[in-house]
Amino acid sequence: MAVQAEMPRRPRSAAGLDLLRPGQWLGWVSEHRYWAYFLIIPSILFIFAIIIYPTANGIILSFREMRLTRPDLGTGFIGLRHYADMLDDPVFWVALINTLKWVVMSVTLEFALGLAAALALNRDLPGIRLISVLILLPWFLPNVVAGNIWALMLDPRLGVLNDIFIKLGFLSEGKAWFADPDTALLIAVIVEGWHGYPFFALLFLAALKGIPKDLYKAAAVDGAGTLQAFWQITLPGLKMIIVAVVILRVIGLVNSPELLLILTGGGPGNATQVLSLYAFHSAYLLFDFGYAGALSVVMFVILMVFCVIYLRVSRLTAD
Amino acid sequence: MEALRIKAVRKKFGPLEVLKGISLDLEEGDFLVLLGPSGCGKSTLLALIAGLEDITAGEIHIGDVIANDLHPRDRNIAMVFQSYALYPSMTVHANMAFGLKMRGVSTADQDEAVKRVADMLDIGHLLERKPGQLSGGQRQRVAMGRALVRDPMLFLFDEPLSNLDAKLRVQMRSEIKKLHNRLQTTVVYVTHDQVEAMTLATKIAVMQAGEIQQYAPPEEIYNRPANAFVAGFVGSPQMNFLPGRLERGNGDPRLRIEPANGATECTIPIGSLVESSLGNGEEVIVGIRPESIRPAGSSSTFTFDAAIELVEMTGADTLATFILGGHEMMARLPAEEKPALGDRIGLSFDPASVHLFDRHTTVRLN
Amino acid sequence: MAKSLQRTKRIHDWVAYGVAIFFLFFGLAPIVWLIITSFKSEGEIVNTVLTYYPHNPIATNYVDIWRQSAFPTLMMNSLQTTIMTVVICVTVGTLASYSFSQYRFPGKYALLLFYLVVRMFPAVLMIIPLFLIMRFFGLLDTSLGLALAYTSFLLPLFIWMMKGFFDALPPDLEKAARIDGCTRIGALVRVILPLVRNGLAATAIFVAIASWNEYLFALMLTTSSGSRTWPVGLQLMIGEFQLPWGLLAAGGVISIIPVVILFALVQQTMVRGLTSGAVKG
Repeated sequence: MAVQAEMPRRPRSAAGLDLLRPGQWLGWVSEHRYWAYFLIIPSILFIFAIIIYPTANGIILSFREMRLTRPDLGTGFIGLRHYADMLDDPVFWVALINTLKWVVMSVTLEFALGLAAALALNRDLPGIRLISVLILLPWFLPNVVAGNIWALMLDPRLGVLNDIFIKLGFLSEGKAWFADPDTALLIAVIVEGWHGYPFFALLFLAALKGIPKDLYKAAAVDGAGTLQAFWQITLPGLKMIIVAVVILRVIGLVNSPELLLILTGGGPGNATQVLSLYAFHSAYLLFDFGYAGALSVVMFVILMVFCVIYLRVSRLTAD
Repeated sequence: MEALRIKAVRKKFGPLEVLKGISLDLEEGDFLVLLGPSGCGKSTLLALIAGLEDITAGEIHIGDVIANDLHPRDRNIAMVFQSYALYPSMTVHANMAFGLKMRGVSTADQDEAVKRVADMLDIGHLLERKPGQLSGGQRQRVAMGRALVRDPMLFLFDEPLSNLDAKLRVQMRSEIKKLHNRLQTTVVYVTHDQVEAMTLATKIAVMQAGEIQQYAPPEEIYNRPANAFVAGFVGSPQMNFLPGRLERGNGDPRLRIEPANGATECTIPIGSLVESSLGNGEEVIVGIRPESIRPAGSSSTFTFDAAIELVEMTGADTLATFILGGHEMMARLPAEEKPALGDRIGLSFDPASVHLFDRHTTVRLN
Repeated sequence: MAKSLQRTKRIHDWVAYGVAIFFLFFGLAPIVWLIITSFKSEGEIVNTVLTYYPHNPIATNYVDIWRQSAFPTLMMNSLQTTIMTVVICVTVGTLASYSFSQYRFPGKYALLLFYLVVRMFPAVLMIIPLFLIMRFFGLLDTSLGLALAYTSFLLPLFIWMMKGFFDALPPDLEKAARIDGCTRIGALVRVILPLVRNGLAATAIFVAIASWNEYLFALMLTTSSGSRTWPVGLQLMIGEFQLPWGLLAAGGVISIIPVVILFALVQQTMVRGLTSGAVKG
């Protein structure tokens, strides 16, 4: 009898549900056949309230006038005018090109550093495990700190890197790297590379550890050298993770203006202006919410198109 | 000519010595099985032959070259791995051709070699597939094929059948045997399965704790095991072991079995089984294979009564557990013998089939 | 004739050590420089001759940023927001990831993919309407509002990572617990959750670090010192008050200490969680 009392029982009537005892009615709910759905409903509500609804609103906003500094213009629908304006906006085109440069250079650098680190760390040597944990540290630093560390090190007057370059004879005097349109984006890429490559290293290392050691032994017996083993075993073994990690990083780099906002704010001039940053500036500095929305939509569409093509191409080459 | 000569090879991993001086010679065309329990060092020895691990001391000759410092690719070997180690990104054809390609063989010759071996192994229809699309048995064949396309001095097999189910394992075992009969290649084959060892080998090296316990043809390993370890490891069900004492009174020498659990003593007349050098009262281990024990009949030379403790029918024969002198023993009887539990039945064995080992060194005495 | 495999391997090992040490230096040197700077006096920092270690190490930067700026308030605000974000993600996300991991139901894979795709939505596109919505509900410039905004990118992440830990459980645990008399929720609370507690802690800490570090949403959705978080506050101090490098460095060091400690606590499990999903897929 005691055992039976603990068994979940469907109450005879709703009145039998004691709402003050959550253990009881939750237990009853959990035996319902839609339990699996009940569990995900809260998350769906959240996603809709804080992602889907705002995003949809943002898209609608891009077809409306909304300038907080010009209430006289009202908030009416203006069709595609923001999009048309964009085509004539030279800053948009600069930002588009810069976004491309920013993403391609950053991903390439992070990929190369991450792969080199992972290959070095994928060896059973004393101390390597500790190193592979320590090198993750930059990735966990906030953009605010990461950006300002480098701003400090690259400071034209006080920066340690300038001092080292002068001592090594590469420079005659301290250089303001972020004030020079020729170097600003390049240096920002290096900072991003330092900040972001541990993520690549982490995932590559995990994938490398998943490649059976016997394959390398078989390759040695078959007569393959180090390079051949790398091309024939290591790279194919990493293929899936490369596809995944590159797309994740591209999305992150396109969408987030954080690091550039902190390092350069888009300057000098528009030398480091990227789409996400330009959209952010339109909204936050110019309070032109409609135009900012349109910029974000264009960015999102470009990203989507890229992802679809990229995934199709990587699937084609996989077969 | 000797295809493989191993001279006093030692291997240490840090302070741990896993191979303690291994020496053996292998003739061309021989099929050597390294047999032993897990951790005995047999796979390490194979890795040393392949050049996948380096040798702490000693010499390995493959053909007429000292291979100690050679890279695996320069050792003129091919290897089949337990995990098969097929390259997942390559087709079956590319997998098999890889070793040839790395050695600069022309594409036409590669194709020809792959086709020949694929036909031999009946995997011609799989050549364009990737390893991920193959069943376990097919992968095993491809792994063998990859070794066979080349014509090396030595084939190395590292427990190649252990990932297959029982039926496939028996089938592949026969195929390997046929292949070897046909191609007369030299093989070193690692396994812990004594049936594989007995059926495939022309020579078996039984290993234990980093040492070779016995190196001999299979019949000799089975019929004249060099020590109690080999005797116990080879043969299924396991050989029965009894503590005994040699008695040389007047007349024929006898073995007195030391009783356990307060049972009555029993003695076995052994005639001329042992050398006269063994003295009176010598402490020995008496080994009797279960298949040597028969139901008592007219021609039996030594018979005794035994109480049946357990009867297991395998279909082909009946395994009967009984007590002799307080010791539990097993007999492998013909299937038509169906003793009931608790029966006392008459059993016998030929004293000439008894194995004697020194109680202290476990070395064979007869 | 080629070298033996072991010699090649030893050479590779040395190269690997070299590369690993390069990355250790490359990764940590900037952080070490930050710490060095935080112990220098302002005079030593602006001196025309650069010093590579503090000649007169002082702790006044730490004392000053703590005593004479709004930094403690900023840290408290960040803590508050972080805790709220973690609470929301853990309650909502654990239930969802458990369902995704353990049950089969129509629409499951589409929904999982959807949770992945929503991460592609640009933050800037979301922030503007979020700003308007939060203003409407009076959530603008509050820790709760900011925490809700963080949930938008951290909840899908939490669900995917946590699903990996649930996937790693032995199968049929829930069935066994139900046969032993538990309800499903009872099985979850009494049997499953205790088994994934390490994974749950690591995932929660990952979310905590991300929300502690966040800058963009905080910049847009907080306007006063009542809810402003430390990254925004620190950046504003740099911009508006020309914050001296020494103070900035001290502030940076203080604010990354919790991150380093939390990561150190669960690094093994966190690395497993971060890599398992990606490597499998």
